[in-house]
Amino acid sequence: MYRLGIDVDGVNTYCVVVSQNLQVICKAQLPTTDDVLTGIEQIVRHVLQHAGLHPSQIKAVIIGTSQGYKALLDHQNLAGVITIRLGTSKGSIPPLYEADQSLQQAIRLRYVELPGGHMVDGTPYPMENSRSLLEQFLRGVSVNPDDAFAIASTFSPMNGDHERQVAAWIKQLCGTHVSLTMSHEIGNIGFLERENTAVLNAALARSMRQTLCGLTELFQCLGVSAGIFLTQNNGSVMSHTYALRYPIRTLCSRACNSFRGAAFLAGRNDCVMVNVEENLTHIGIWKKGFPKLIGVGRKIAGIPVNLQMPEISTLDWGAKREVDDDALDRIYQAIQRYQPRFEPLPILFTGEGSEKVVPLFKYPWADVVQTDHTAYVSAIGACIAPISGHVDRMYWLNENNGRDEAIALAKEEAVKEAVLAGANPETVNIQAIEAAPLSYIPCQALRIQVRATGLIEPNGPFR
Amino acid sequence: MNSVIQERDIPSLACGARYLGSGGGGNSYLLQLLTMRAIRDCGPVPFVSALAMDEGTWSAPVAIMGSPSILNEKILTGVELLQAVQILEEQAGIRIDALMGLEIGGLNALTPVLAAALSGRPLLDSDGMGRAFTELQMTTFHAFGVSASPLVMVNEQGRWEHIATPSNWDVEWIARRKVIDLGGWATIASYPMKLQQVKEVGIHQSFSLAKRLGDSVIAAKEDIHQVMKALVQIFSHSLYGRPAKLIEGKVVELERRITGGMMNGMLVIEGEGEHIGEQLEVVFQNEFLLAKQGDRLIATVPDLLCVLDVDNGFPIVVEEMENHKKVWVVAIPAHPLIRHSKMLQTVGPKRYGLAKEFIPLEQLRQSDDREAEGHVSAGY
Repeated sequence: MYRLGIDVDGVNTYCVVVSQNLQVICKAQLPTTDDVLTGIEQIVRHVLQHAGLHPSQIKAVIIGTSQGYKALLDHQNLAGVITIRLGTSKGSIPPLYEADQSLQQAIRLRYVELPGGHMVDGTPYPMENSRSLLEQFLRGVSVNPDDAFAIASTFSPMNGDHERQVAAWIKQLCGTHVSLTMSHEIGNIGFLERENTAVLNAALARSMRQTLCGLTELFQCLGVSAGIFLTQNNGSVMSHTYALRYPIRTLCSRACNSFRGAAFLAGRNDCVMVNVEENLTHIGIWKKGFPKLIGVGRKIAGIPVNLQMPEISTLDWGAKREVDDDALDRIYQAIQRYQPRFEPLPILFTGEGSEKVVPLFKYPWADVVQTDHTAYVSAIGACIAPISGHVDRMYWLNENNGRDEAIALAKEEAVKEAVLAGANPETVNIQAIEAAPLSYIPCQALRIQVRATGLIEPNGPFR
Repeated sequence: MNSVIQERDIPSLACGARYLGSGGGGNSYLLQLLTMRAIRDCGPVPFVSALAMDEGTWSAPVAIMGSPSILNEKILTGVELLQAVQILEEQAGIRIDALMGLEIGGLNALTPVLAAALSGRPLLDSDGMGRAFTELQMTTFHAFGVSASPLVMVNEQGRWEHIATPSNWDVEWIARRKVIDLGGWATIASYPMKLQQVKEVGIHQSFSLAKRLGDSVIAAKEDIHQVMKALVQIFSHSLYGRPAKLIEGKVVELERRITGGMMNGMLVIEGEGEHIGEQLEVVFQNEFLLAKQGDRLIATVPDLLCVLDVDNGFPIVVEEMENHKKVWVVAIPAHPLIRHSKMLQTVGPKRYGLAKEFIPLEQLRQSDDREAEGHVSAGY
């Protein structure tokens, strides 16, 4: 049994075949085609032929792509978005306020405020006549079959009931097939940013559906009946049905794929990564097989968002080509930020430009390692990533619901998410738990993040 | 500053106010957007010096009290500020013809601008803290005898509370509890006073200073060396005084705990570059309060402490501080009114249980230099 890892960037499409014992048995690259799919078709035919494999021997296809990012930047192929805001304040700053006009037009943002939402402790505000207001609003705007809905409610990371309630109403009113994004599934505290993220996720629904339909059809044609998976921002993979719900989680997954691929090739689970590309160098940390994630202060297409993305420092070399002392110093300084105070981690170089840097780079305190297969690390990383369920929620503690109970709830939810994302239930286990009180909020509020990971197939070697 | 505040002044004002926050005061993207929108819709805000206004005019500071995190989730519209001012007028039986700041650090530097824009009232170039502090009585208004009562607080649903009691400490105590009932934050209007009093007890030119500082920092284009030059340039030519760079290095320890709704803790910075071999400990409680090397005091509240992100020179607020960050720590002498003995009774290091007495930064630096036997750190 084999896996296909496909990595699509703006220039090239890379493909690797990985065997059950984690050997790369075939690799190829071709220019990315405008429609992406033709390029994928060509390359898959190519590797199957070269590896001498029958399509039925492919067990899973994992794809890493930044097409979603491109869609947002180019305002191409975005769904129309209808945004429902549930809260107690009226007439504040609307969603996507700072987005440029053409993005606003591309998604024909329609927006309504309804009474609802929750208090910091999860107590609901009355929804009053929200349902009839919603009906009235939907009658007043034209809803196309392709439109997607984004729902954001105050303190939904603490209590998502009102978002779920409105989602149910919309399904009753507009049909069960409408595309819906609930903000509490996407981000944490920070209303405007979380709402923006939900809107962008909804806007990507159409292109994601088209891409996935195209892929499913394509692999059927090729005779590959394997499941199709996409890589996500947190360094894991998700099933294609899950990706349909969270297209925004694919946007910057390729950077993590490179890290994972490089770490795998070097046999390291903890290291500082330096990915040297032609004009850019990306530096980040890889700990226990995952990137460090941060959720605040990020922007996508100029819009502030609230979304877990890997923390990566990017050095832009502009037109500069040579590796001089200044360049080496900048790389050194960027690495130092990620190094722990004691016992520095090994430094792992990857990327096509790393050959020029590594011989000149001096770092006496830790191993400096370089990977081979440099062009393919991202495709390889995609191939071997686990499936994960990530939960990032707020819990309000009281006598009946203590810290332990809240963590148990979060763990349960993370396991459920991992299974929804396509993991075999028997293989799922909890990888990491973080619990921290939220700043300035009185001490009963606890933010809990849990990551559960699992495998696509039981007893498989693929992690 | 011009005699009006325009939309384009807001990012500068917000930027300068972050430095004056001393690590506290909150960041608010929302408040910045609301203020810019209000100026676009309602026109520029008339901006006047308190010294130039008629002494009989009534004025009041407006602010947002409570949790910035809750504010960023349960959002503000701006109308709450107008309601607070209007209810204060009714409760006190006065007409408020000018607004001013309660604090010039953090997001509350924008609150009065938003209120002024929405209501068409002029904004005075004055505030009561000259930086950010945590509590209502930590103002020069209180230190020099102005009553915080009546205080009016309003939430986004228009629910309001009115507090009138002789002691400003009690006002703070009651308001701190009511703000939880109101949902975690509230807009407040308080300390109603005539311009005659504002002239005596206010810290003047503070909005101008924040704006000027923001302009210079923005012109420094995220280069920390240029940002530091801007800080030295602006503060040296103000009543505050010359900032001092205490250390550059990396955050190697960070302890945070929340007690009584306050974020307490400390961080340790390990020196790099010309500071290699040094360590600095910074103690905070919502704001950065004190810096020390071992047992030796380096800087203390009410002097300001900024922890700047090496990447861009912007100050990092306490709640966004992270381990491993590369930073510069900069101390700025406080405004002379903040160092007044009456003010030190409420905001001196003794109040926080940190040190027996306040020693001004300049004095601590002098003894520092003597001990180093003539060694003067390069540049700053």
